Formats: sequence, structure tokens, C-alpha cells
Amino acid sequence: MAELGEAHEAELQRLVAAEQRKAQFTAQVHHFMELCWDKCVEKPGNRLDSCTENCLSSCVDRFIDTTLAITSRFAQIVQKGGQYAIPQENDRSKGLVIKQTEGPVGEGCQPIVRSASGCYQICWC
Amino acid sequence: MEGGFGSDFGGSGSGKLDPGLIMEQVKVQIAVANAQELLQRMTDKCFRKCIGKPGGSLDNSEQKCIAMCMDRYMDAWNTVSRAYNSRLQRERANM
Repeated sequence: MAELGEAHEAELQRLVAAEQRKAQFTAQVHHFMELCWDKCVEKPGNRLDSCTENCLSSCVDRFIDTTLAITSRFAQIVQKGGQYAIPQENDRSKGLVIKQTEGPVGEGCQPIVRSASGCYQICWC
Repeated sequence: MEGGFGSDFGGSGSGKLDPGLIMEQVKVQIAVANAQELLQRMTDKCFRKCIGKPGGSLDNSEQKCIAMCMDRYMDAWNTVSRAYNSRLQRERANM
């Protein structure tokens, strides 16, 4: 039966990981197109004018800024004991931490959001 | 030599698998999947932009619009791809 030598296997893992990163990048670009095309392109002409090009570039940057803004504000809301399920603890001096893990909910944690890549849990640390 | 999916995974009868040849096939499969994704989304967007009230067939202006839309969609894809790449590099530089 054909098999990979150890060195070949490590090499293959490295190459596959590189391809996975490229695939993730491409998937993200498709997602940006989904949002930004509608916002930036009126009626398709003979070429993209500079106004449209700027809009598309800005769209990517603003989307990333939005993601960062939402993530940080969400963490603040949770810290202030928002409307999400907070695990009960007597010692409130412990901080709240949002963890992203796959698999079961950890000790002292409550699941809050299930995303494509796993569960976000709020945990006392 | 046949692999599990009916194709030669670079075995070439020697009993050893060649990562280079395997990766070639992986890259081709990924490229095909990406092309399918691109076509599906492009079709969706260009239908929305170019076809107003659907008639009995695609008239000349609609066909022209579709052709231009495809070209602009791919131009836009490249613009977005460059912008995203730049942003990633900027973020990495700031870390």
C-alpha cells in the first residue's frame, strides 16, 4: 500500500495549510463582493471609474472597522452585565472573558453565541 | 496505480506518494470550486442589475449589460482583493 514518508507528510501538511489560508482569503473576498457591489456599483459601464474603485476599497476597510467596533463594544456590554446569560458567581471581582472554543461548554461558562467556527462562551476567569 | 477515488494520486507505481502531484490536484479542485462560486455570485448580481421586468427573452440591451456587468464584476473582484490584502498587511505590521 502506498504511503507517505514522514518528511513528505510534514511537507504535505505545510502545503495544505497554505492552500487553506488562500481559500479563506478568497471566501472573504466573495463575502465583501456580496456587500460592496450593491453599495458601490450603479449601472455597469465600460470600465470602473475611480469613484467606484475608491468606494470598493473603502467598503472593505469600513467593513473590517465595523467588525472590530462590534467586537469591542460587545465585550464591553457583556462586562457591564448585559442581557445575556451571565454565569452566577459570588465573587464578582473576577473578570468576564469571552472565549471561542469548539466542543463542550467549559466550567464556569455559559454559551452565548454559536458561530460557524465554534461557540463563544462567557466565562469567569 | 489507482487511488481511492479512481485517480492516480501521484503514485506512479513506486509505492510512494508525491506531495507535489497531490498538491497539483488539490489546487485544481480549489480553483474549480472558486470559479463555480464566482460564476454563481456574478450571475446573481448581474441578473439584478441588468434584468428589469423579465420579458419573453433577453433583448440586446440586456445582453450587452450582462457582458459589461461580468467584466465590471471581475474588475471589482480584483479591486476588493487588493484592498483586503493591503489591509491584512497593515494589520500585521501593527501587531
